[in-house]
Amino acid sequence: MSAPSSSSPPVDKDKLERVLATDCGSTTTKAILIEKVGGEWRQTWRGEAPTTVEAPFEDVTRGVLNGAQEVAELSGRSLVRDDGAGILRTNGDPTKGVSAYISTSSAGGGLQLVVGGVVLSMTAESAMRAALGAGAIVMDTFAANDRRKPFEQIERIRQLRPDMILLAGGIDGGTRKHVVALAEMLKAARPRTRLGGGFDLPIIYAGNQRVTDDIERILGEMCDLKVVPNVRPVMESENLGPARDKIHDLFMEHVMAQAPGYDKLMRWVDAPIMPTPGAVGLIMQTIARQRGINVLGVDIGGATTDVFSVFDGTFNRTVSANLGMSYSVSNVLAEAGLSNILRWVPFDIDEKGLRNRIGNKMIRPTTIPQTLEELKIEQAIAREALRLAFIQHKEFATDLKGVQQERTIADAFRQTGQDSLVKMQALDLIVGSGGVLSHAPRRVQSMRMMMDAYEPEWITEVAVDSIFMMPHLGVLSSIHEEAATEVFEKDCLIFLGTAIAATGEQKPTGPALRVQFRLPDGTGVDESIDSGRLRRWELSRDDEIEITLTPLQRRLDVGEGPGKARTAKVRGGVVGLVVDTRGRPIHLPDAAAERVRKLQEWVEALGEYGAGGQSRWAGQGAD
Amino acid sequence: MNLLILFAALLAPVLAATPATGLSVETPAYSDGLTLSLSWTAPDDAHSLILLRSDQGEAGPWHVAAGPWPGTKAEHQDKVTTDPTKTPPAAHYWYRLVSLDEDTAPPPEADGDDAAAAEQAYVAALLAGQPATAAVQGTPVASWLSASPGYLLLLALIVSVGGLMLWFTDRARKGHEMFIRRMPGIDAIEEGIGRATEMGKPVLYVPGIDELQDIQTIASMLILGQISRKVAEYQSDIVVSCCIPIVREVADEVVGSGYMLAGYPDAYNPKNVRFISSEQFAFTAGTNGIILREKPATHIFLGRFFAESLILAETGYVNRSVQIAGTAEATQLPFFVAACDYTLIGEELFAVSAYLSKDPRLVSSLKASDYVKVFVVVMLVVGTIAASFGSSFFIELFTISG
Amino acid sequence: MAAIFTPGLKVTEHTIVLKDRRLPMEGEVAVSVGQAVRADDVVARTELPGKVYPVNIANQLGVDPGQLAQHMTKQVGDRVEEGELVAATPGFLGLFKSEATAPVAGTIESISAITGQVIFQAHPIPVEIDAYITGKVVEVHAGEGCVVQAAGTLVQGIFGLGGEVKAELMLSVDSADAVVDAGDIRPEMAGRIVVGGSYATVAALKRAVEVGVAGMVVGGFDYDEIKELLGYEVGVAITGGEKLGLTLIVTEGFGRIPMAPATFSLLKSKVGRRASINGATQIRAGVIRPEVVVTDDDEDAGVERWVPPEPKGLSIGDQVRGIRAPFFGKLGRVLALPAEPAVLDTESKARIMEVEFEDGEVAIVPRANVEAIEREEAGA
Repeated sequence: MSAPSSSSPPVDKDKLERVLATDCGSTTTKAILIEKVGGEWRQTWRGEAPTTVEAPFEDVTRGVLNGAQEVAELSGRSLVRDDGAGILRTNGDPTKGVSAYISTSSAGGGLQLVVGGVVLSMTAESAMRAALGAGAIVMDTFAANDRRKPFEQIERIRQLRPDMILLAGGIDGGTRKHVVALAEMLKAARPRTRLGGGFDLPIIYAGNQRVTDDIERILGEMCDLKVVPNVRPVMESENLGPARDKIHDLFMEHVMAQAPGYDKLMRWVDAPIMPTPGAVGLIMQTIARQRGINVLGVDIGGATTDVFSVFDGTFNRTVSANLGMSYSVSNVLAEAGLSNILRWVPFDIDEKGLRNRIGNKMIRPTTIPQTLEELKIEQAIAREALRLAFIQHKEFATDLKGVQQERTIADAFRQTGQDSLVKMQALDLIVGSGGVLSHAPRRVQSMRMMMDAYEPEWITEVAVDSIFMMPHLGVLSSIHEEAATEVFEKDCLIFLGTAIAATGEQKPTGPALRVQFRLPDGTGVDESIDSGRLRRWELSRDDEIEITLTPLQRRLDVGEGPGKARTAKVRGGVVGLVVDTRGRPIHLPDAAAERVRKLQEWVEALGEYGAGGQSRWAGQGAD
Repeated sequence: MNLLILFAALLAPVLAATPATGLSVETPAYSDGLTLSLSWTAPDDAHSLILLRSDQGEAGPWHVAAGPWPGTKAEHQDKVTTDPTKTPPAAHYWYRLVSLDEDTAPPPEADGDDAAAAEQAYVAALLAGQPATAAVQGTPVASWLSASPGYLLLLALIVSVGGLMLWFTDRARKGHEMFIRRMPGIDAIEEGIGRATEMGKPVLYVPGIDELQDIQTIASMLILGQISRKVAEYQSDIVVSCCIPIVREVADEVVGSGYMLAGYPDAYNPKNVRFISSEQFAFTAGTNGIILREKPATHIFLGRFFAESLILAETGYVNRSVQIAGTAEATQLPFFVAACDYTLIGEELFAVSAYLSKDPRLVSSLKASDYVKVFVVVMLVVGTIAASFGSSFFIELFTISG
Repeated sequence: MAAIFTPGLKVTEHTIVLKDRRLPMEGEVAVSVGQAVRADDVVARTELPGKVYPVNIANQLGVDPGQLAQHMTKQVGDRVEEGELVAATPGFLGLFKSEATAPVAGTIESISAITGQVIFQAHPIPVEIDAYITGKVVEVHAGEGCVVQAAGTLVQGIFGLGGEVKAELMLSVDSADAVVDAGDIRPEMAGRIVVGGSYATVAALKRAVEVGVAGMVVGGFDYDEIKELLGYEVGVAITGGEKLGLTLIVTEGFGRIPMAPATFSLLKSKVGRRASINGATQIRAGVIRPEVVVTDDDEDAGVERWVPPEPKGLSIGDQVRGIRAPFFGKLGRVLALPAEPAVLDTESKARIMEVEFEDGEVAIVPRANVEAIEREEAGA
């Protein structure tokens, strides 16, 4: 259901040998070449070029050609047609061209949607899920209960200039009044498209199917109305596929067609161009389905943080629009609070100075940390951005609301409400991407950031996407799923290692966990680790070892129940095996000096930062 | 008259004892204003003592206030009036203590019209024949406070509840987050309203079947105000089914103002607040009719329920509605728990209002009463333990007496 | 990557300034190409649609939404006054009539037979756009606005708060590195734009608002002062609409940083002239920086639309300024531009340059952490 309906001729996947994939981002266009090497699919070459959507070029294909040309030069194979009018296809000649060309795009700010529904937590949320799943940025969500007066809603819609609007509301045979009121409100607002241009704003109606006639009467003349099956046909289930596919179709037809050069690009590709986050979501779903695992993915950018999760086959995506590492860095400070950022900084720092530094990063977003101190601050902020975005994701990724419950007598006394679908104990793999994670000077820093922000429980693998190849593989999975997953595992991900942590109430001192395993070289390890520690062993991705974890406190649980030992097979990565006995949630000492000491201890235990920097800042931390 | 002469003759020649000395009258500490505290040094030779009281002046007329007592008694708490509503206490009182010898007769126990005269004669004979102290004046004054441990404890409780409330209110106003534990049943109310909105069906609200003055019905009306406000925000409909006419009138007012507060006074339809019947089962049948005909998406049963609870909840279950029930009626709880999605148990019903509105005043009173409950539970436990070991000290702490 | 390009802030005495003046929605343009305009002249005007008031008239009257139309005394498109009768039921023998009135003066947008709602739209709000700078109109976007071109001095800041202001320039302190305190704000500054200093204290800013200063241009100020001034934090750098009481432009950044000497001397030379300033900042795609524009009134900017030259790369000898710790705010000169990336203290690899700072210190700085200071070179 997740593959978008395609207008291009289907690709015969058996004949695929070599695929060129590009991702037209807002600043750079990244091209990669994926080839079948000795029977297995690998990513072989990559190239980059500035995106050319804006003046003076105003033709996205120039950037694509530049990127492809770089790949061509590196691989020694011609990929670009001599007349510059497309990507060369193999015509029996093994030294020239590719068998397929695919692309994603987020240029020009990606796909921006406004969604509407009757109740925020019900049909509006279903509509939002469909839009986010399609890779869109949801600019605003309107609902009958969004606490805004109609005139405020109208004013807001007039300000926004979305690429399209997704209107849901009511189950089939449900409310008519509210859906009509929403449509009338939209009509009164007369929304305009972002790119201006001479076409009507596309509105997708995915609500109560019995009201379609009214909706057509109200909105039909004003906009380009498309009716698709209800995203929430009954309270008990969602049907997001049709709306998601329609968004993809319209993305191609309207949005892409308006952007400079995309008409050409659309003719070049062998599969529909997908919005970048939509493609990332697709590869996440593919990998989770193929390996039968639960995956959590994050892409932390300058302005936004995208979180993806697949738990028991249910896919969710959220975009935290104002949590990022540069443009929105001050907002991370505002939302997390200074003290939450400071708790991760392993030295003392003047607070006013730190605020100013963060402010300066916001107004000069392209700068990079030059000193170790700056790097540590940046990574502290990243932890909070990741954590906050994850909280938003957990709140969104829940079971459907408004459904009759089958509750037993025991449930009558339960105090918890609707649980998030995101269950850390069931999580198998965390994939991080985005500059601060992918380009951290040492991989162990990325591992620490994700471990601190997400607090993985029991046994969890951690990886990063080193060159942000996930979008390319997402589109590839729409034409050749196996190739996509093969490259994903072998080339896209850099496995950092496995994180191990016990859950349950933990005493702050004394031994917490006993770890027993045999390293690949035959050395046996049998250690009792005290509370509040991080412990790391080198272990490569190729080595699988059997590890026995024994909780040394009555209430600690590593997956077999409180106090019970567990034996499991784990693999390492570039970082290796990290055992975390800091407790869940992670316990940080309140006193500043004590906390700094503890943080220093963890940094040293994992070998996170360079020695030079260490000595340089050790003095600073001591006073 | 004969009698009087007889008494006088009997008493006159006998002058055996000496008067008591140092008679003093004081207002006792923590007085209720009806008691005076007397003390004296008893004479060595008195066989018995009798206390005379006058509310007119030093000269009398005197009445027997108390006694006769054995001659060794040295103090007395005198209640100046037994029925302060009929005989309010006078401003001042005068006392004389008379020492009696062995032969003195006790005061006459006459009834009816003769009683006053007999007493006068007796008193006159006493004063003539027996040694008495001079008249001492006393003024009964009510004090502000009673030192009785029970009262003090009660006062302390009132003050501390009030203090706690003020403190919590102040904290809440200053933006301190007040923790109220999650109650999924209450969270489900909003979800239920949302469900009804999406389905284009009304919410059914039943405020129990008891009279308005019942505390559960009052709580239910408070909650109805907030729920109807939410319903109005969702621009949805709420049907209220009432068993008592006056409850319907109040519900009408409450729902109307809920819509008003939400800013949609025009969306309120008074036809949706209905009086069905005052007969329990006629009401139940009528409400079931609403459930089956109008198919509300969400049912909310909050208030005092009796035998109709399961009939309503069962019908609602068959109708596949989301049902939220709450009652402090312990006998009906099992039925609600069995048939409803969410059930508010007992006291939870009274917390809903605070939980929904987050109004600092309501939240802080909820918080304060919770602390008092904790205190009461601790007292019960301590008292039980103390009583088990035979100590009555703790129980006496709670004794309330003059 | 052939050209090394570090985008910097413009600080130039003579340049061509182009200002796109656009209406928020379609309207009427009042000027034509070639026309000379003063800063305060209106170049385009339109009417923003008024607020919308939906009222459920069917419920007010107690009739079915479907029958609402027959009770309406006003129809879609009719103009109504506030409190004017718009619908009434005939009642029974003249009794029990119900009536509904308009909540606002405006027009009736729609009457819904399904919800019973009548949507009233208030009268439109007129909006006018002025030229902002004194110059010539070089382009007209029909129905939307125009482009005004002028020759003059342009100083871009790094961050600003508040919108467009036009007023006379004045010095607050007489040096680029002095701190501007409340005492430096004098009553005669009312309605002026005050310039100078390395740092404005929150007291100075509050005093400036009190006095009625129109704008303030300063080297730096503390990030947490924003919250104190506005009552909320600016988490995302998109500004311009703040209700601060004045327009604030920071030329260097947050903290105590002397205004770049070139910037200060340039602005100082324009004291007494009328300037147009705007605090609007946007640091996402389509960067907008706050600016101070002083147009040369006597010079003819020409009616041909000026095309900006290709951005110039950075070369050895150019003046640069550090924009991140530890060299934040320091001015220097490029000594070398090695092609190979170098390893930084953080252990990450980056393209760097060697810079000699004004205090004589020579250091390696990542190219991303400096900005070129564009200055008009005489005769160049």
